[in-house]
Amino acid sequence: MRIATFVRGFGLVALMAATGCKSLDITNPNDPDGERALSDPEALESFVGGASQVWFNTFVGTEGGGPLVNQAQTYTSAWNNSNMLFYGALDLDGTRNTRSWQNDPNAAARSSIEWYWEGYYRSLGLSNLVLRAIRVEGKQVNNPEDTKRAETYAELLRGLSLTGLAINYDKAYVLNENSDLGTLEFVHRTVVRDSALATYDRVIALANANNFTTPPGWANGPVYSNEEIAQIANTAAAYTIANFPRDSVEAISTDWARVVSYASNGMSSGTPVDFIINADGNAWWSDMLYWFNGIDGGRVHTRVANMLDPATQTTPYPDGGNPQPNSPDRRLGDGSFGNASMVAGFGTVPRTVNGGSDFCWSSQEIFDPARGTYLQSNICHMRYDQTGVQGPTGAYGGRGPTYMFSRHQNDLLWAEGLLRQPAGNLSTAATLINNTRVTRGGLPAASGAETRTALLQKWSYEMELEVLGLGAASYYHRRRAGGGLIVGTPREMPVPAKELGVFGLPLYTWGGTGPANSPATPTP
Amino acid sequence: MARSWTRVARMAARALGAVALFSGAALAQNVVFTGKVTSAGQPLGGASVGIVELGVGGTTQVDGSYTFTVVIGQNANRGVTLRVRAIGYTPKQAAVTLTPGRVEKDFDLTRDVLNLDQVVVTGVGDATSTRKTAFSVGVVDATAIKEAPASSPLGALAGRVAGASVVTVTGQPGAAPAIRLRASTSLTGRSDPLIIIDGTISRLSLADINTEDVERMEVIKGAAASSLYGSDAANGVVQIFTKRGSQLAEGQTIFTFRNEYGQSWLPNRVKGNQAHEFQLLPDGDFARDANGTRIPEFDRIADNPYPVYHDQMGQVFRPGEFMTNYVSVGQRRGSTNYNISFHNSRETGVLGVLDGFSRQNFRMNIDQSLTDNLTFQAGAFYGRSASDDGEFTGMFFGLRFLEPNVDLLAPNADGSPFNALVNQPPNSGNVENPLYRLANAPVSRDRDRFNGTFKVTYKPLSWLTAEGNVNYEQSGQMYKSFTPRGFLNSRGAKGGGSLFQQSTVERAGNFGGTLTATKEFEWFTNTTKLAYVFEDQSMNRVSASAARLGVARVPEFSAATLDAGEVVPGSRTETIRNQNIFAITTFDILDRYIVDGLVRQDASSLFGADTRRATYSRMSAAYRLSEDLPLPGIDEFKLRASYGTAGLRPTFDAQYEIFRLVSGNVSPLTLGNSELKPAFSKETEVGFNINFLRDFTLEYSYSDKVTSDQILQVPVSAATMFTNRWVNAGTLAGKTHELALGAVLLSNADRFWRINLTLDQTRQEITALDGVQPFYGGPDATTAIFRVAPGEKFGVIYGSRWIRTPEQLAATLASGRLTGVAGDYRVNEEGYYVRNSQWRTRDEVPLKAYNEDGTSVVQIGDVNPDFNLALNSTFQWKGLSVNALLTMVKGGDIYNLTRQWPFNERRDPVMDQRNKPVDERKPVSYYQVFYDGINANDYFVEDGSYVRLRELAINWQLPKSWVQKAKMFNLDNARLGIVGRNLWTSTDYSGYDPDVTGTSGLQGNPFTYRVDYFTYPQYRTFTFMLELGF
Repeated sequence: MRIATFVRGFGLVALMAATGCKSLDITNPNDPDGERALSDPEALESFVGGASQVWFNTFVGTEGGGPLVNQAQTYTSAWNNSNMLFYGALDLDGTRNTRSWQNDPNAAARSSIEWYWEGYYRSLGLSNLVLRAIRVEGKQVNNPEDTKRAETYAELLRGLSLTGLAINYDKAYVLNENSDLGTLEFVHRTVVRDSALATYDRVIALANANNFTTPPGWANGPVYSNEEIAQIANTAAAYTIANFPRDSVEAISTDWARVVSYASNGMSSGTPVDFIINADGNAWWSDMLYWFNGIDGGRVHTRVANMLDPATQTTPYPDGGNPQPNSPDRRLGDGSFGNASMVAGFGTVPRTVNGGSDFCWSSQEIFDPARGTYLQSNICHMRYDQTGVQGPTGAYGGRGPTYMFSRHQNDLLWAEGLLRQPAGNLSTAATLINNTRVTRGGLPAASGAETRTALLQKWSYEMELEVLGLGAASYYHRRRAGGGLIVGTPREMPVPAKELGVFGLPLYTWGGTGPANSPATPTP
Repeated sequence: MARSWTRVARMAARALGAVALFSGAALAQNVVFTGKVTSAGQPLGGASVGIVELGVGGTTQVDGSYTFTVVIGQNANRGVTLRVRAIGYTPKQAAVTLTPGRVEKDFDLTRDVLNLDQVVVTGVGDATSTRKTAFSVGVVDATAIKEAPASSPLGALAGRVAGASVVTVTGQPGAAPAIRLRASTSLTGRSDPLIIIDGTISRLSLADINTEDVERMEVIKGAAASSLYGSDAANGVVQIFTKRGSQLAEGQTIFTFRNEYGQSWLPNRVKGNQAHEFQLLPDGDFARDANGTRIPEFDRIADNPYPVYHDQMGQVFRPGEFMTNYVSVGQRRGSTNYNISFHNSRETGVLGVLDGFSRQNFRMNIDQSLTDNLTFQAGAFYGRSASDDGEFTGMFFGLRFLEPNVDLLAPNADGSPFNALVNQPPNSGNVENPLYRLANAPVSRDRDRFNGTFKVTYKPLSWLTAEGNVNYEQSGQMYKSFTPRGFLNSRGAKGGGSLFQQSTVERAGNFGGTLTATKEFEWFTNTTKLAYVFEDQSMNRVSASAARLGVARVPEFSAATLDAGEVVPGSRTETIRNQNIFAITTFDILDRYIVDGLVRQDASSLFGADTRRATYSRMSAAYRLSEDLPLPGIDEFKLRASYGTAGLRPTFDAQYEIFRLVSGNVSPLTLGNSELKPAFSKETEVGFNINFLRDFTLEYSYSDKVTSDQILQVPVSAATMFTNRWVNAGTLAGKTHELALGAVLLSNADRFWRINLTLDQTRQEITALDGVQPFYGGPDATTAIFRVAPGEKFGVIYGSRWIRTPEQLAATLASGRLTGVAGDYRVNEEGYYVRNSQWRTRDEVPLKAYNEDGTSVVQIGDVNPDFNLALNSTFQWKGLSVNALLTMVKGGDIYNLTRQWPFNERRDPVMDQRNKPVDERKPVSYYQVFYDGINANDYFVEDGSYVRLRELAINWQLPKSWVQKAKMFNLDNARLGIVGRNLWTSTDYSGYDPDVTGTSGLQGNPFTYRVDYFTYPQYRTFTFMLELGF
């Protein structure tokens, strides 16, 4: 009896021991930690790809850019997705009295301030991880050439991330591969800008000193040679300087000669190149184009539509809307688009030989004018549309080639640098403007003999049209320096409440014409 | 093999020897107990009769007789206790002396109509009478829930257990409700209790379990009782026992066939605006501009009728079918008892286009005694269910934007049903014909579930019991969502289609062993248990999605186009292991002082690598005061107090540093925390139980629950490149008062009437955040309106107010947010301050209230009810029985987002101005201001109080003589009845139903984040019931 009891008891204990010995140390199989992900130096390429992907999704994310384009009255949308309506709406007096950045943990619209902040620091952090592995820890990716390639592209992404912070926030942290996160310190945005420029200089030096072609994974398809990376870095540097000023005073003191210096070596120099990342509608999400190259998502503001065809596209938006256009600019033409199957769903007119390359017309009002007729327009931006590729009759689905910077944009940055300098070469500026004005728009050429002011007007027209759909909000950044933003529109973003909260710092905000009007969280 | 045969032969020889021995001298060494057990003169089958000290006994047959034999051995002339027990009856016992021969003893038991002698096993070391528990244990047995069985057993706790709150996460047929016992333990997550089904620590949906199979549920409500279950039990424990046939009479076979059939329908419709502000033509149609857009009138007042009206709510919500069939066979014979059941149900819900939810369950439980001291119990369950969802397709959103002139039943241009083109410019594309979506974009969820249980009980000694158990459950779920190519949006544009499919397999097993020693000493009895529990849990998920389909009407991935990024595969694996040991000892001193203590240590893979173990303990005591101090009219008076600790485990991902992989690229997400530990909950419970005047019981409990080391996902500096990190921080305190009153108002041979009343009140406060900045929680980012800050009540809504008082106006003027002086403003007809200059003009708008410092966000609501009350009544008169459950929630606010969102498109009935004096009519733009960009404001905070007749069942037991005349098989009894669920609700809440929470498909704490968020509403059912017994 006792033996049997012992045997049974032993069996039970053995069973428990067998299962109980299964380890409690379970590795997360779904997502790696940093140590695991970095254990293979070749995986550093995935970190570069990750930094690129994060930067792309941040750069073209509507959460950040949607409000900016509405504030700039470039694109317009009465949808409140991504807080576009909230920040795009005007008060009865035509100002944005109550539209300061809602920098409060309780405000639904706080997400627009967090978008760039978190996204750019993610891409910055990933870039710094790669640079630390290579420069501090001496890791090598496949071979010396691939290691230099990763180092160069990581530097480029670091520069692009710093640019995003410098042109959008009043202050930020500057971080590199040696930064101690225990001693974080906010620095003025000029310091952030200068750090970005120094980074681009290193990219240019690295790209010029090495031979490589980037792997397809870093831009989700397109590949770039080291020469092209140098051109892109030059354009990005010019973009950073030109888009930095918050107002006309800062614009005057901008180093436009340095803009010319960078732009003349940029993407339209030598063998021109466009910086394209391919969106796939999933991991690489072209959010701005999804909204604003879609007929039923957002429209071109009537301010811009009016520039394209003053005769038919009146601004402000009239009751009942504007009729089909007949623009001298080939980018709009008669506004026809698509085929007959789109008429019922999208209110378009089937394409004729006079259909435009960039814009089309729709009879549909996509939202209630009661939200503000200034949020309406009949003109849609369809330059990057993939109709027919992406659905039976559907408009842009957030996928396809997405331009980060274009060669034409570089021309216009270059031209601006010349036009803003007292002794800038107007003839060269006119040639650069004509690259789109004539070639794409079919408009009479600028001769270079015009006054600087007249040329600036032509430049401004081109800039309005050509930067639409590039990245987030180029024209917002231009209008805050060049004038045109509605009174009360914030000129930059505060450090998000979420970040301030981590360190227990007081909340603050920018924008609005009244007193401080961001509802602050009650003091605990 | 040879050895086995040898062993069998040896055993056979022993058996033969034993028979020989028995037939000879054995009779002289045994004592045979026989007798009859009755109640009110009627035989009582299924009663258990036995000798406590020796652990032997038998079960009465249908005629109440029993017999069992005791081998006297060394117990000759020993005085022992012969005890008889039956569920629902007060036990009796008699002293007998063991002498060879025959002992005949009859017992007549009285009905325990107040359930004073229930035996519970949850939270205690061994089976214990509720008279002797040192903490509150709620018991809901089959008699309480069989008349109106809920789809999910947890639903049956509502109104039956004081302190148990039940909310409907979604009214979707087949969905399980959320449960909270007493105060919440988590600042951001759910507080559902640990569920144990027949010993299986269940990690899977209770929606798979049918209530008809439930024999009994035991509920312990917090750490003061649930310490025994360790790091996953701070929310309390609900233990479910299914039917096993163990309560049948010896030799009895019982066959039950129960059917319910009826209908369900939506009791309350949400109205829309029946008027508009657009210009009309003489023929009553809309005037339109050249683009076909309707033209608003200058005054913007919605006081014009629509050309035609359609009953859209009636078109969408149709009475649905509710049906259950339940068959069970139970038998007890000798050393074996079993119960086998089959359950079939179908609930179509209230969306006429959908099939709803159907489920088929098969369960088999068997108990077998192998020898006097070795028994095993086994059980198997298999269930499968299928549902088509109306919940997650967003149809309840689009429905709220419909204008009343749209005919949802009109055909499309191609003749297909349910007109998709319901957008009427200038309104937005938010509008949608729900019927078109439901009919053309199916969403299905099919699930298989298996559960197996095995338990061996071995008593090597009369005072020692060893148990071993193995429990395993598995679920496989297939979710599929298909939108065909060519699917029309509300403007008629065709989409490219999409397909998503996800297969999830979950497994959870626990096995363990216990040693229980029960020793009686001269003046006390001690029960001590040592136990080991191992839990192993896994989840594997594989999914694929296609963003575009190449052909129409092919709902498989063969139709997917394969451009980059358009077909995305996914997979996920989670493995969780826990090793737990505990010891519990209980002293029952002189039958009146009960003291128990326990200690438990859990080791879990969910804890950070540097904090793998956590220890919990409990001390509790009860004093049966009435045993020492008899009081007139008091039958039993027990004081009790208990203090215990328990935990809440982190989720699988929480401890890890996570670099998310997206298309093979790396993106940082969560900072790891190797020191993450379970939240630590400590609870003190004190209370008393009084049974008085024979027919009344009163139970009161006070719970003081404090849960520290909350598991919070907190933001980290963006400089780290990570978004957040899980940390232990914050303390949530809750105090709960519970009262349960039971009364038997009538009890005689023909009539019986019992009522139970439960009342509870909970107050919760956040006492610390440990360095984490105050934040706002909510079901999603849009509704993060519930403030979490030290010193704050838990469950308060923050947002803006509209100026309604002179003080608010003065503060707003002082802030500079309004200009001028108070005299420039006035109160309008609706009680809001407006500008004098705008009053009764098309520009009139309400004004937002600001504090003097320019801030506007203040507390605007509190979701916590003042109290919950329930009244449960059971009345029987001869063959007629009436069971009713009335529940009441007093107070507690709801944030009605379902109402707020459509304000932007003038869809709320408040905008219909037709019945107002002309000069008091407001433009739609006045009301649209309240929309406020979906920011929270006090216009949409509503009182969620309600009184509800939750269950009503009227049954009639046909007279035996009628039944026997039927001569149908061996038909023994038959019952007919009607059953109503959610039959009547009284509330001022303007939404579909006040029992609402915003977490359907979303995140967070359903009891705290009470946001009405376009969810499937609760519905009413009314059915006829037929039950046959053989």
